[in-house]
Amino acid sequence: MGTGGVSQAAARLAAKPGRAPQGSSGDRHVPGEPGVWILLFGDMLVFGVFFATFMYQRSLAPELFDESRQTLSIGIGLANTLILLTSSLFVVTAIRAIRSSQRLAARWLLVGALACGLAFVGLKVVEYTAKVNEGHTPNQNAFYLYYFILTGLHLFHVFIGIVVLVLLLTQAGKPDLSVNRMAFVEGGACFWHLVDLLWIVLFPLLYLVS
Amino acid sequence: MHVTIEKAAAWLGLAMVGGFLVMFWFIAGLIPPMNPSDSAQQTAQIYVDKEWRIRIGLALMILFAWLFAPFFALLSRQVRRIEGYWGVMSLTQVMLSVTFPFGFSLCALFAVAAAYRPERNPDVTQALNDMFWFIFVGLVGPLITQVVILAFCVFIDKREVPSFPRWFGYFNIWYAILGVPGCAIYLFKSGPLAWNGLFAFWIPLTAFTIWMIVTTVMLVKAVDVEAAERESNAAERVWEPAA
Amino acid sequence: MTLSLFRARSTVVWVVLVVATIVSWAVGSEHGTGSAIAVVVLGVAVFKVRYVGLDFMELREAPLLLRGMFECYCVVLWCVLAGMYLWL
Repeated sequence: MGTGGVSQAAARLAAKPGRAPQGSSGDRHVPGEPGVWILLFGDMLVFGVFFATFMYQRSLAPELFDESRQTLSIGIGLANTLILLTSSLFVVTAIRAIRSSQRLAARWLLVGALACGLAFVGLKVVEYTAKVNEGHTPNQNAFYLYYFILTGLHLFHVFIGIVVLVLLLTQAGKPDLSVNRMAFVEGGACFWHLVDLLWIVLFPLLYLVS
Repeated sequence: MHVTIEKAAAWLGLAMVGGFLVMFWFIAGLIPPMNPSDSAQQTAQIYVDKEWRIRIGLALMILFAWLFAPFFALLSRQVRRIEGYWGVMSLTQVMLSVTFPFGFSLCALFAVAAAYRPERNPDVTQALNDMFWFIFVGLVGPLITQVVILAFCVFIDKREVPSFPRWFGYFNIWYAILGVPGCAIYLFKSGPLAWNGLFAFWIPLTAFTIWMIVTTVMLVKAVDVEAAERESNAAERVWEPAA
Repeated sequence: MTLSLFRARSTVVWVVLVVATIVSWAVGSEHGTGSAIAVVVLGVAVFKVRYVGLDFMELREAPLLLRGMFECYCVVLWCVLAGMYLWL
């Protein structure tokens, strides 16, 4: 945490790492760096295809999908959505803390986000185990096939996101971040928000809309 | 001279992707893929119907798969330049590059074996056919590892004129993520993660083709960066480390 | 000190997102196939996606091209998914 008020304010004014040079279009700043958006938009695009595929499969057997949907653990799904939203709040606040050089706060916030991520994984394990114990496996029907595959692919992204959060944690401890490092940190934060974003679509798609 | 050979290696890699598509798709007709839930009889019938297409197309692949090697040699050299010496990353690139042509030729050997004696027991044909798809679609680890190492190298390149632009690093991560689902085909006989599925076959195939095109262009540009550095080093009489 | 960090737009957005999540869960969990509720639920999802992008990913201050691409994605996603739900 900061020391005296004056030195904090000075630090905040002096250290604005990662802000692109102020352009004529009024301070528009690319979050992270342009390259990271190839990854983020690319992933959003492919998941868009996944979502559409699910809807197509649903159209082939709407009653089956609705019936199977009702056997899902919607409480766990809801909890997981709120957990990821909270983790995203922690991450965006941590970025603000890094920008204003409040390194300790940033690290605690990232630890919080990490804890949320691990909680998500834990709940997913509980959910998958419960489903399998009730006899619902990917081979059961088209709905459960896509349920396991889509949430599984998302879980894969959560794992990557957790690794990214750990990397951000190491960077948040450093007193000085070069422009490239800060861009990487912002990009990493955006990747975590992507993980949240994808689940925000997956939860209603699988648990509510089918 | 170096520059010409290096650029030729890059373009040869891209040409081989075209060649692969011609051999596997137009000649052999193995793309679009067969259905993993076909019975042994149905699979054997496909090999009877397409016997000569498969044998010719894949014989060509077995002969030409090795022409991927110079492309990956160039890729390994670029990683070595960034690493500064033949370190762990560059050597891993070389080792994994050795396995890459096998991803095409080894699987082709199984399919050709299946097509070689179409009058045999259909169960044997089906087993050989399974092996083809298991290797062709499912063996994703080596290339994924290569591109992850490449992405890492792009990000750590601290030289004034880097070999690759930073967006190329993110692009490689995107490809790696898309390529991973292929590994799940051993668990499914139908659906999007089967060897003929959207997530395990079509998306990785599309991403792979895009990756080869983009990487070829990036390698050609990196060769120019290296040539310029070589010239300025020669002028200042700085030697390239032997290892 | 940390508390002042939370006095920002992103925290307000978080509250909105949490409320939207709970509302769509309450509304959406009981309905048959082919209902308009589903279109609304999908709309709420895209609304949430938009806020995550604009205020968490900080696209609000991004160059207009980048922000435009994101907003386009949101609109197209909702149209495609709702359209497939209603008409396939």
